[in-house]
Amino acid sequence: MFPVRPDEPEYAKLPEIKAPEANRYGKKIDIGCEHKDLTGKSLKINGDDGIGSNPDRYKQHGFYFTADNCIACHACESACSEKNDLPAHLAFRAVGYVEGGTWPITKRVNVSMACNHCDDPVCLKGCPTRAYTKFAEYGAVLQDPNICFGCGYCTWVCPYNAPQLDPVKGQVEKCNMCVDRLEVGLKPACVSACLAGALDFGIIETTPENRHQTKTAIPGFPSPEITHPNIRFQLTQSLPREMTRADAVPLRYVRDGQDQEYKPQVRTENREREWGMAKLSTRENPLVLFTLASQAVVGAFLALFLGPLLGLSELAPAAHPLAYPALLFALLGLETAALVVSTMHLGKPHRFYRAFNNLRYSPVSREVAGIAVFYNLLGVHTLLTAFPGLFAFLPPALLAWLTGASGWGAVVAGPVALYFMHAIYRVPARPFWNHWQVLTSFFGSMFALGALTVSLTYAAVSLAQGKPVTELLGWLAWPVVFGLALEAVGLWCHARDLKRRGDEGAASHYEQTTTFGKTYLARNIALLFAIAATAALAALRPDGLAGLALWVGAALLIVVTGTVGRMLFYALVIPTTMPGAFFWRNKAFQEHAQKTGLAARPQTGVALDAH
Amino acid sequence: MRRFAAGWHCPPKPVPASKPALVRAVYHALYRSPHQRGLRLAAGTLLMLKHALRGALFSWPLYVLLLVGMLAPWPGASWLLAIALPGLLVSLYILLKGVHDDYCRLVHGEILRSQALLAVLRPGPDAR
Repeated sequence: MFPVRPDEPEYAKLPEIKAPEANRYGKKIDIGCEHKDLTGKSLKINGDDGIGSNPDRYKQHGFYFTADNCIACHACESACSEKNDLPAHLAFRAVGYVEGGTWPITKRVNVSMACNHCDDPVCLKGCPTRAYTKFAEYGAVLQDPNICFGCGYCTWVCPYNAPQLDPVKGQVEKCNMCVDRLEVGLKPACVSACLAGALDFGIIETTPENRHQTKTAIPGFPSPEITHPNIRFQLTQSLPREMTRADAVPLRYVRDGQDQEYKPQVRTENREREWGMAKLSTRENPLVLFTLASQAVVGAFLALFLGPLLGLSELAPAAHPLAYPALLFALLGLETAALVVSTMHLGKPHRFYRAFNNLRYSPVSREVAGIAVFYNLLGVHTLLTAFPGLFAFLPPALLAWLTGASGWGAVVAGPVALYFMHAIYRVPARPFWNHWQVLTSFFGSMFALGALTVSLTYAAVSLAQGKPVTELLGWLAWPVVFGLALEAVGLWCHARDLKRRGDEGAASHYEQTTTFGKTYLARNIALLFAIAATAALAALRPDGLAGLALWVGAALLIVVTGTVGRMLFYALVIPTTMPGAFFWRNKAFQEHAQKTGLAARPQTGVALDAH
Repeated sequence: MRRFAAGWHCPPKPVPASKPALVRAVYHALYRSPHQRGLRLAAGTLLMLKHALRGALFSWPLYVLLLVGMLAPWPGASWLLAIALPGLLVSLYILLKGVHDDYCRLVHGEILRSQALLAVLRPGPDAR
């Protein structure tokens, strides 16, 4: 058990207080009543078998933050870091601020934020490895770094930036509610260290001493409807109508005239339109390759397998007995490369197999399972098609059935995997991604890149054999045009919807049209040109080497457009995190520190990206 | 290079200093005995088999690619090696790292019993 000091001050001890039955979202506060089977067990903190003596052990606890009192001294951060022995680049609790007004009447609201141990923890559902557990003890959401394999998906889905991806260790860690202190009746370290009485802790929906408000909103705090967080605020001071973030996110919070709540709005700053090429490259570059390659492989296999059934006899295995299996192996190779790249993107690649642990809830698990099934069926189909002689011991009818069944299986598994791939990005904490355009983009790439891969390979082979290629290219051009048009329509609707909204998605769109403005414009023009060029090639059907050269030119344009578009997709997303400070949790400062070498000094608190 | 090599060492699991000197001496004598060395070798081999089989379940098409790249008579088949060889290296790295992690967790610093040797094949801490 955690050793309690004999002179422990009263403010560090949890008060005995009567709790209501349910919280404001209708959830029972006494978790032990609902789940009797979970009570009376040890939390096994550091291998200790003891069970805490806290009488409120099974009641949902939460933080209380009085913004009026916070002076941004960062004592809570220091106490947390000391308690959890954290390196300088990691913090489970962070203090950021929003500011408003004009000099000399200015106001600043500091917000100290850690994990809110939500009623509906999206990190728990999103984690593919099941590293998260919501405990009946105190309602704490705890994460086991030994199970985590460092994909970072929980950091995408959490609206409060609570889980921290440690790029050095390659795993995620987060606030553990100081459950060891709670077991012996002490408040968490951050609360006990608070100098100004801003941070408090206790059973949720009770009002701690010296407080009278238990609000769920404060300027800069994401919508509590996403996860039902266990944090309550008090903010009594009058604030200006507009409050601005101190970090680089182009957002401000404007008070709504009707319900007096602060709503996010884009902070426009007369920025020039730039290329922003250096910022296009992100930690997610491997995912750019993985998503595009997987979509191309699925699309190409659909074209190869379904083409002959739809009347494209040129695509039948009999028409090209050498090129057909060779292309299947090339697709298998491309998917292998995509899988290798995506696995190495993990903090701990050797734990890749844990990605299947949470098929019930996590879209990541479902995507990985879908891709694994597709990849294996593609492998079986390729092997049976390319080397039927190896399976001569099987009855011919069974061999034919196995070949067909594996092909049809891959035809179904591929698009299903891409659907789950899209579902990964539909998270409310990332409004720029949370749009159906992701689906049109992924399936658009599947049609365009898949048909392009097959048509160019077959065209090159047919040309080498002296056969005409115009008809096949003409037919396969239409899926390319359809895919590109699907992507273009999705992008147009996405931009239109983002402009209408005032949230982080609109801020992402603002970045899209300013920081990356020229790249965005060039991509859009290139996409429209690619649609027109492919449609023209399909209609005019130029023959011979010149025709093939034109096709190769169009293909290059399509690949470059797709790659730049996907890089923009990852570079532009702005999460619904709490505001950072000038030097802390500020993307602009982190970029500056990494560019200037400041990040090499550990005390700066910015880790050089090791993964 | 030294840093890389250090990453492959198992962290020490010392016998607590609170234990009597005799207990610690018996532990060390037993741990270094030929029987325990043999059991550690057997456990390591079992772990290697476990990880290799699990890896092969997911990545067998990679090995097919490698074979086809080397043996297939098609023109340009050797290009498949450009993909398969780096993939094989990554696959080997993942295999060795997985075996190493499990070895450090389950075998290193432990006194093994021959009757319970198969326990190393049980799923890790992520199994629910």
